[in-house]
Amino acid sequence: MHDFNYHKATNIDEAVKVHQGAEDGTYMAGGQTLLPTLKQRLASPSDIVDIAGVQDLSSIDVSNEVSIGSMTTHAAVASSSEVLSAIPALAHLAEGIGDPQVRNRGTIGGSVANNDPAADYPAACLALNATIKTNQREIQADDFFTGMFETALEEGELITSVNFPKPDTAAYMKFPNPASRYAIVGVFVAKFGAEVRVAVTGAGDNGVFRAAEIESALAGSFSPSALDNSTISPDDLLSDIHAQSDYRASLIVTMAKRAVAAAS
Amino acid sequence: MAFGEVALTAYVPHNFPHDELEPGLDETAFYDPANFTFPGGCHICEVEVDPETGVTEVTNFTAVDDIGRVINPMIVEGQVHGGVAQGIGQALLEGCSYDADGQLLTGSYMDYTMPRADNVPNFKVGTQSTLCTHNTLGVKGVGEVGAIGSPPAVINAIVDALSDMGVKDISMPATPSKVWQTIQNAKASS
Repeated sequence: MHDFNYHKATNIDEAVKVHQGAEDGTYMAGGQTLLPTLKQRLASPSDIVDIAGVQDLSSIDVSNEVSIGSMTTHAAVASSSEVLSAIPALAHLAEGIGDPQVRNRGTIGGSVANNDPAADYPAACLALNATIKTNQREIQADDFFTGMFETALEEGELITSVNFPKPDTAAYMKFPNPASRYAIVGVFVAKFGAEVRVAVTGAGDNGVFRAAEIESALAGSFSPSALDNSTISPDDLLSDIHAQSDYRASLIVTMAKRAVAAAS
Repeated sequence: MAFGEVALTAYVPHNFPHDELEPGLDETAFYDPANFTFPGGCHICEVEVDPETGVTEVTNFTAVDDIGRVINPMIVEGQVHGGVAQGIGQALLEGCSYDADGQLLTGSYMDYTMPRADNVPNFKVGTQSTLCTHNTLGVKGVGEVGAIGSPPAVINAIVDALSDMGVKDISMPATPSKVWQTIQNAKASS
């Protein structure tokens, strides 16, 4: 690990100000990606701004929509009775992230800001048409995830909450990597009236994406059999030692069917 | 003088004439068996293969081995549990991959798949005791029997499950992607 300056912020303004003053600063939420990256010397920020002590970022508010503060841990989302009753698929997704240690430290804001191509939350954000609120503005999920580990966040912009509209029904189905148990393919299906949104994580070579073919098939009939003849092109999918791209393409349809079955 | 007193005295050396005698009590002897021992056994594996994902689940595993006289049944059962888990890992999960430049791609447990508790079922383990005729205890080896019988049992179960499709063989490790690909190839050629 390289040397860095450590700052523990107590409010959003302080965090943003310290970040602005740093030569090459980075925020730290739960640190579940940042700390391993630092240990392996894959990143060498000059300053780390720890936002674990910032007030008001770890609340869950359910009204017309489900608003989750950016510092809310996966474990808190998974065990929230309000989330479970409003969007059970979201609680189940959180329950399936990493292991208990990761779920008790890792946060929704950290996951969304990092946009790991195999992370679970980006699929929920895209499929549920979430709004990502920052200290500066509101960003629709469709505009937020711009590529592998890339987002629409400006330098120093800080996520304050992620807001999910409540769907009629939704489900997330993950096919885990047998070794790491990250998603090789994760499909989040959400139905809002006549509209169906389907987001795929783990598979795309440019990160999370919406599967238009599956969305239109399900808009016609929200049932697993509506996808019997659906295929996904392997052209823009990841290929590695655990799953070649045509296997991932097939898994996307299979996981989508199973998600629809679980949601209906 | 009892043996316990001798042992205690050997390790409490303040009265020793140290120029003549070192503290401690140990003895090493080597045994050269007159012949090898030949444990044998039968392992039966039941699997369920998901044809859509290629995932193989081991739903039942029974191992019965003849290891001669069993002196400590608990140690024997634990040894077989470990061996069968290792064999299931070899058959389904574990494999070293290298890229074209010789770089190891499975250099950490993020990519190298060790068998974990949810990869194995509750084992049924039994023993049969045909005494070995050429050592006094009548014992045979139990060290590796679990890991020897289990890989072929798992692979044969998968091949049996896929035999209707014309599959006759699959190499280890039979990972989900390899099983899926094998099924696709079988469908394409039928």
